[in-house]
Amino acid sequence: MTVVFVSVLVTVVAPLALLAALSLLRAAIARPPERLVAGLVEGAFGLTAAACVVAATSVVVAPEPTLELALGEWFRVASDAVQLTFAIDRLSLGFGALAATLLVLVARLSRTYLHRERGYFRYFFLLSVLGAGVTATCFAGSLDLLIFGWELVGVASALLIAFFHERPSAARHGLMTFSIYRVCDVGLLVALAWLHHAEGGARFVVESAGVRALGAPASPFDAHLVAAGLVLAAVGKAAQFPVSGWLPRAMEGPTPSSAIFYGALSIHLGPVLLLRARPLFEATPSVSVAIVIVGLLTAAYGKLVGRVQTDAKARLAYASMTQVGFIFAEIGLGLEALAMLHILGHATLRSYELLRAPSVIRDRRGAPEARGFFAWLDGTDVGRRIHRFAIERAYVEPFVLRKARKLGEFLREVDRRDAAYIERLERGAESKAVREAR
Amino acid sequence: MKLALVDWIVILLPLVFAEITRRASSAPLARRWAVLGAGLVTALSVAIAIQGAGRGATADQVALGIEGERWRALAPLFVSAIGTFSMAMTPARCARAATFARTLLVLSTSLGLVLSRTPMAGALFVALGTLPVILELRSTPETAPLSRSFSAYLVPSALAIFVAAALEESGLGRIAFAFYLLGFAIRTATVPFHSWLPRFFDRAPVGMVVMFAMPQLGVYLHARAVSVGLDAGFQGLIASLAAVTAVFAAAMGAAQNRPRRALGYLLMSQTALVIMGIESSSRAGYVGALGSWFVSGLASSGLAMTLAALEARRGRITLDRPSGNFERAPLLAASYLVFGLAGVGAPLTFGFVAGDLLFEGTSHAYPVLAAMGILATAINAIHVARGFFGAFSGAPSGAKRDLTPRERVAVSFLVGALLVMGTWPAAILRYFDAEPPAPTSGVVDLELDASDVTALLVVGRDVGGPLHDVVGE
Repeated sequence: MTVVFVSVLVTVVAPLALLAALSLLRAAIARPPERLVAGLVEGAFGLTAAACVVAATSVVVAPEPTLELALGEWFRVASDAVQLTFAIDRLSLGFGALAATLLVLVARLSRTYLHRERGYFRYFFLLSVLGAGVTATCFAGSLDLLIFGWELVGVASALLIAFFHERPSAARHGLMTFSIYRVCDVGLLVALAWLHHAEGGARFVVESAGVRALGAPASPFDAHLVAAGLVLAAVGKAAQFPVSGWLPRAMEGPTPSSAIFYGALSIHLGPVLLLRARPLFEATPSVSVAIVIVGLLTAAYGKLVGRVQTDAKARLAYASMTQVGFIFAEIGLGLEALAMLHILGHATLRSYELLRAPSVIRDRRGAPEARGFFAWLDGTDVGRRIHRFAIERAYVEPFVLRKARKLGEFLREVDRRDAAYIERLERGAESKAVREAR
Repeated sequence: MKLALVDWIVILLPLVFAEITRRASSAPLARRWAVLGAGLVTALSVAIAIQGAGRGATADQVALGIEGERWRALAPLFVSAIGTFSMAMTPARCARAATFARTLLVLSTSLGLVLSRTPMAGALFVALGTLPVILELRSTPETAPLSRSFSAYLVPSALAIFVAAALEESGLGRIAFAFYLLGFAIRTATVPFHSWLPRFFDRAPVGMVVMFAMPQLGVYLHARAVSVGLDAGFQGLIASLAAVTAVFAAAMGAAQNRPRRALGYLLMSQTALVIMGIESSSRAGYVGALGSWFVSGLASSGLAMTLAALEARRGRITLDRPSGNFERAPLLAASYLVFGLAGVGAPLTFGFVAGDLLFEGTSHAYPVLAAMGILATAINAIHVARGFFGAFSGAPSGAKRDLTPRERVAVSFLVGALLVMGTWPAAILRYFDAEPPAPTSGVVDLELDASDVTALLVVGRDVGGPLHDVVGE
């Protein structure tokens, strides 16, 4: 058992130690050597991957399928305390080992991909933030710690999308992704606050299909509220319909980071969150049905829109969206084991495809062409309508963006009027002073 | 004013250095004196904070001259750290010797306020604190008009607080409450008394803005004078107003194209969240609110001063098009992002822990308000990201000018403090998580209910009950 605990401790601490080491290195040297930076990242995640494998092997022979590593209290206010606890189960070990291995591979590939790039250090630092976030999210023993990792991933994600910050579109897409994440994370934070209010904590203490999970609150209202909040957060992170618009735009970042984020890790954190709350969804069948509907709608949407894409990475993004939609449906239907296998398989395959995408484009000497739909629909009015529908991304995005722009204009108008009122106040006081002087 | 010797030194030292700074022959020299003075005060404040931590957690006297809860022992350190940071980061080309001197005067009055024991002393320091700002604004033709709008809001606020303190000391606690509420609402820029704050941020010298606005002394006064012993109906009313202000200001800030004005809205939103937490009727919410107060003060100061440093290099910035500064000032960009995210509760910073406690505590009594607060924080985070991408993305242009060694030291201290508190929150939470607030001298002891508010809101009408009691007093 000691081997398991030490291995998991190494897994959790190594990425955070890496962040501290990289920060100190940057503080000491303005342009740290490329080899040193990449070596540190590969070493830390290599250690994490090895520790995960050791822990996983030891757990297989352990008498209990799930364990908890408790490091004591992080902080306490009155009787409420947040514990530093980590879940050791097939989900955390499986996903953690996959994440660390992929991070090592991507870091290795990025050595040459970003050689002499001005943002070399920044890229590896953000990759490390992502690694720390993913590790914290999948090993978290409570929703409090899960949010810690979840938000780290969100910040790193937005900054990597905007990595080539000279391009205006990169910054715009980074901001869009961050905004969608934050709005959807409101659900997660509301769920957390409500769980503390209703249950006095948010630890993963229930065992469900070999996974430590969140228990369902006794009151149906509480259970539905918390479940809905978690689904909202998962939908945002996993780019599910109707907030999936950020995923194809996220491909603006460097290809290795796109592969690791949107092919493998970040996009699967939504399903990981849902798996951590599976007993809650069993107690709220209506929310389970909603998860299935959202998943299937996303799968259909991703398939439809993906067929009219002419950009290799965008097409892969829609393909990812489709598969994650199916994973959502599997979780909603209670097929946890299948969902976990689907996550691991899809993450591995999609990372490979995204990393190969530039080479495929070069081999084929050009970007892929849009596939279109069934041959018998070509040239028909219905075919044209479907094509337009797919190109316009189901009209959802243009509608939301138009409304957001209008809201922004309205708020700026309110602000202009407020500023005008203060200016009038200043001018009025000035005239009075001038009159008095006369 | 019964103050200990060290309290007097902490209050008077900035005055001495203000006079030395005023006589300095150049702005860089003045800045050096100002930083030295504020730094000495910060060192003394550290001693007060350490002493405060060692005392009991009850409502006894816990630090040199500081009564009440233990967190008050941290308040001088909080104020003086903001002062030192703002003066160290103020670009010499954007300030004159007199500006630094007046900023020290504001520091002195702010320290006087957090160290004062009686309502009258506190009110006196509130009033005195506005004078150097008005003098500074009047000293140049560009900011002279601003002094009028500033005075139009802040002078009545100071007067209301002064009247409230006088009424309180005369035993007229109920009427004092109404005046306090008005004074604090203006000072904390609660809707609809908010218009002065974005304008002040947009036009006034940044160092002065940071010293006057970032310690959010309205919150301090609110925590000391109003929140104690209130009826639940009142608490709900104040918390609701705060939640509405938080969402409104967050939305206004996120839509802004002028970063300094946007920063004003950001502070307004964060201050409102803190007040909401103070009125949350729960220990976790109260502790989270105090933590958020400290974090938002420090982080917003960092944000404002990095923005000032950027504007000193590039001129005024707008957020509707990319300014292309990242390659030219990467450390400045990183500082901006860290301060911004710390203020909106990013992980690894103390803001994460404080935000968690604030919303968790608020959800006990006011779940809808907690959800509004969470929404406001999400919009504030979008605002920070928009500001970062607007100010630092785009094609690079102009000369490369990153943080200077002096600025690096100042930024490192502040970022280090936010990160250390974030990874080891227990160290700072022991200051905030003392016994529940108990009425002591200098605190209004009120036993009001919602009907009193209704009565106070309709002054002039012939209403019976509590209003007559109030008037009768």
